[in-house]
Amino acid sequence: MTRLIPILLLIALAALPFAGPAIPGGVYITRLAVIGLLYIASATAWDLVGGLTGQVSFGHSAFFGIGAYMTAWLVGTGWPMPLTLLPGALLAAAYGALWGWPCLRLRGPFFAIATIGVGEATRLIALLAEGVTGGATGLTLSIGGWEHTAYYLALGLVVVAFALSWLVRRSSLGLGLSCIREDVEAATSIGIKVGWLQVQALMLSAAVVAAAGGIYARYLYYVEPGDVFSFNRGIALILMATIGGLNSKWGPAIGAVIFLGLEQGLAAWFPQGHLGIYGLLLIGVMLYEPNGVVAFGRKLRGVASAAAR
Amino acid sequence: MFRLFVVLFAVGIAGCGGPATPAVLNEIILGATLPLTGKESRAGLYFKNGYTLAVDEINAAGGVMIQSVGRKLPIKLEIVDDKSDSMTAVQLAEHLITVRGIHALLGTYETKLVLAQSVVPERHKIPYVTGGGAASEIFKRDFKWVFGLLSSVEAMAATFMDWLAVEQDAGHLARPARIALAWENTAHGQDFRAGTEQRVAAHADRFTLVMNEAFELNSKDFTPLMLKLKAATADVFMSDTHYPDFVLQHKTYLQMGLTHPVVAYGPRGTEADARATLGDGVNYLVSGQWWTQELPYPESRAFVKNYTAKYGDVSSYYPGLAYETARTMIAAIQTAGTIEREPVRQALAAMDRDGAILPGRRVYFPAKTGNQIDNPSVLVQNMPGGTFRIVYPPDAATGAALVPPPR
Amino acid sequence: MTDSATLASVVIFGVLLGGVYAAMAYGLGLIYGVMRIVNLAHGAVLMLAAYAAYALNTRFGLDPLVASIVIVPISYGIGMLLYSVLVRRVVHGPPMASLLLLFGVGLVGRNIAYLIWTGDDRSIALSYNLTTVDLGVPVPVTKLVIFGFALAGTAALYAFLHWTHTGRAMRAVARDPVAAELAGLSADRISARAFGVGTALAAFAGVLLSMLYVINPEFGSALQLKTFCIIVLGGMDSIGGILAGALTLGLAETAAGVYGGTAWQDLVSFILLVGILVTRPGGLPSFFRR
Repeated sequence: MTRLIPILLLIALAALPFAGPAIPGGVYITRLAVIGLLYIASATAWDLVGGLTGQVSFGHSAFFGIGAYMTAWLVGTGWPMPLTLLPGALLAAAYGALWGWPCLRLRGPFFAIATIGVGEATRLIALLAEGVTGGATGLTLSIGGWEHTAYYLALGLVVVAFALSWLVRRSSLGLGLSCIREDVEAATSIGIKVGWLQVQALMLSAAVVAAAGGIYARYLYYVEPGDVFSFNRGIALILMATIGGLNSKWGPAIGAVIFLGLEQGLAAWFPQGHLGIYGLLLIGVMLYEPNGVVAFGRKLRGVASAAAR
Repeated sequence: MFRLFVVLFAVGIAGCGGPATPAVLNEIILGATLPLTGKESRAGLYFKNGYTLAVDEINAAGGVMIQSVGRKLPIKLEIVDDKSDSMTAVQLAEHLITVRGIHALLGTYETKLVLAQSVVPERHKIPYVTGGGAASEIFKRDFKWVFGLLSSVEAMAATFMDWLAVEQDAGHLARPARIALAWENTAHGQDFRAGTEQRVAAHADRFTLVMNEAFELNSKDFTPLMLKLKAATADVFMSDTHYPDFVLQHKTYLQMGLTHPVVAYGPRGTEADARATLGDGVNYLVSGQWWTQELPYPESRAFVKNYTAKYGDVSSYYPGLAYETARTMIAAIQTAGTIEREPVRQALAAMDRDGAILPGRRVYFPAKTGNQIDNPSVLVQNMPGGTFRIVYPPDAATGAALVPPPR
Repeated sequence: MTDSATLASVVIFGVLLGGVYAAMAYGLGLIYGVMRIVNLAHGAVLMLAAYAAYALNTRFGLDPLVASIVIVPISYGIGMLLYSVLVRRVVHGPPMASLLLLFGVGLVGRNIAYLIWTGDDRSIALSYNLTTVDLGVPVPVTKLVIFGFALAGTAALYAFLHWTHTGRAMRAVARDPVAAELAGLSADRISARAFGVGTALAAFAGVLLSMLYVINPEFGSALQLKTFCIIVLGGMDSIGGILAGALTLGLAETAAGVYGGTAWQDLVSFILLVGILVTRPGGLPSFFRR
């Protein structure tokens, strides 16, 4: 039964754009779901580096922005939109290798702060490279095409992200990354190629996040450095994965859904207090369940099964 | 674990959606997202006040006559916070339209937010008036539902240059004049630079560009910029800035003891708190305004009086633009006599309304600019003692400009 | 622009900017040094303290430096409280917990600022705002005052950490919390004090910054990233290193602005950050150690 649920959910999600107009608020939910799906895919991909490898990256905004811009450029030269995601993913993976190779030797807060530097430097370069990126004004995409293109691409990307996460975790790569997370020195001593494995994880994760950026560009019909390379995007991925539960199959996805609901719901209904309410919730989660919702769920299940016995 | 995910997903979705569309029409709902927090929170605050004042005034007068229901209906204003963030501005506009059932959408502030958001009214075919996005980029996309009340920034820069030419002809300014230009690295700044560069290129006999520098929004040190300005030995210093950067730049300028015959910070300079901080240092600054409290029109005077009584400071153009934006949408609904979207859109497209508080007093949306108004902006010069003079264009001027300023 | 007069200006103003940066970073550096916590609420503390100075100035006409006599002790108390109620409970948890908890605290702080002072920009009117001293180039007194405090701050912090009991206890806890406990120190109590001192230092910096800048609720966010750069350049936990890092950054930014483009200033700081981290994870002090 449990095995059927993912398939049923996938079918339900695939039907949503058509069922949308019939449900109250369904049109809005369909639009919001695009962002939700992009968040789920990105957070799941981020977790390959931030959770599985234990290297917290603030710099994934760089990949998101590269993907978004690649799509904006290529669509502008007449490429069919879905095809633009591939070059975006490849370029982002290459960019990840470029800075990941030197930076992934750092650990803990050193790596985290280095990624802040990378993310912000990328944003500033994009802002200054006016001829390429349009500078602060950004680039607009022509409006049109099938209304639900972005939705189904995002749904597809979620499937890809989950599959990737599942495959990596089952492979020797995943095993090696776990060793690195637990103890770098021990990992090195048993012959794990610490540098190369981490770079691989970063490249895979970069590719998925870049594809999400590309779909986002098509969704917004507009890209601009301050938005797609924003520091807040990096923070958002960390929040999603941590709220849901780092290094878990469903954690980042659950976190992404909670994050989106809070982000949108609070801003829509509490214009005066959304920042503070959000901050208080975050404090609460970190105090009572720093390992995220997934850990909380496990505890609940433990209590339930104990009660059943 | 997976079940938890499903439950949360369902709860999340249910929490965001909700019922819409009331059965009987007994109020007109105008919606807006505004940057109440984040980088543009100053503008967001003034826009909220301006929108609210316009709606309150109409409601105090009994509301808007709607023919289709045969009576006057009050207006309800729904304002949410887009956090100065493009995606949120888009999502919340969708939320206002599909969940809160608004009848028309008023724009947010800042070009890039409007650029992102303007797609939403076009998709949903709902009338949209913005007084916060000036870049012509917004209006080049052939949108039918998007109407702009802010003339382009290029046009404002051009107005500055035209005025400089007048001062040259009067013998107040060197010819050719050496122009030092600084611009914030935002859409606004890029357009300001473009407008200036176009005029410089067209009038090489009048202007030479001796400095052309971009700077980051919210910079924490302008000493390098001012060292460059000093080395450039210019006649005119023009900088396009947000308020915090204006104060820091001009503070550094004064501390370095620089002087130029003309100093202008784009739309900044008239703010009351700038005078409180920099004192007489703000005397004789020239600013380009899309609206200013100095305009002599009775409607504008009345607005200044009412706004000041309710909210205080009205020394920037934001509240005036916001007020006129809301009034424009309300006027279109009044003309259409219905909240049906297409008639309201047609009323906006055909609008040629007098009695606006903006320079030129007219509100109209020419098709050739893609529904962006093409009003003149006015140049204001600060005078000692906290008074102002409109110095350009001549038909709106309330006094002669002092160039160079008296020592 | 390549003459020696310009170079002199670059050095003078670069060093002064470095002083501002150093003042901003001490609090963050101390908290990281003792507890290995990156305080993501640092920017909010800077911002709220600047607002406090603004409020005391507009309400009672107090000069910010005088106002700091009130603000700094209160901030020490708030820091202690923050540690005892919140931070203490996550400090030994997963590393992300403290980071995100303090990020949440920062959000609450920003919201408080929006509720009290709205999103409008504010600035303090000081009579000596535009006063300058002639050092070959006119130098604003406000920046000189801040530079003086930055130097004094380094000296005072050094003295505190080396010559007072509490300070030495903090260093002991920083080096080895378990050994410190064995030696009879309460790591918990020492950490609370360190968090209090760190918060007070940040608040004092905020007061100083209110003399220079227009403040709004977002004011701290951009500065926070810059303080990260500074403490990394300074080797993360050395007081002298912070001053060195701040001066390097100030000089690099000023030089980039004058000899390159004004818009490159921020870019330079982040490239410097990544460059130093990759080549010298120990920051600038590692150049002097072998």
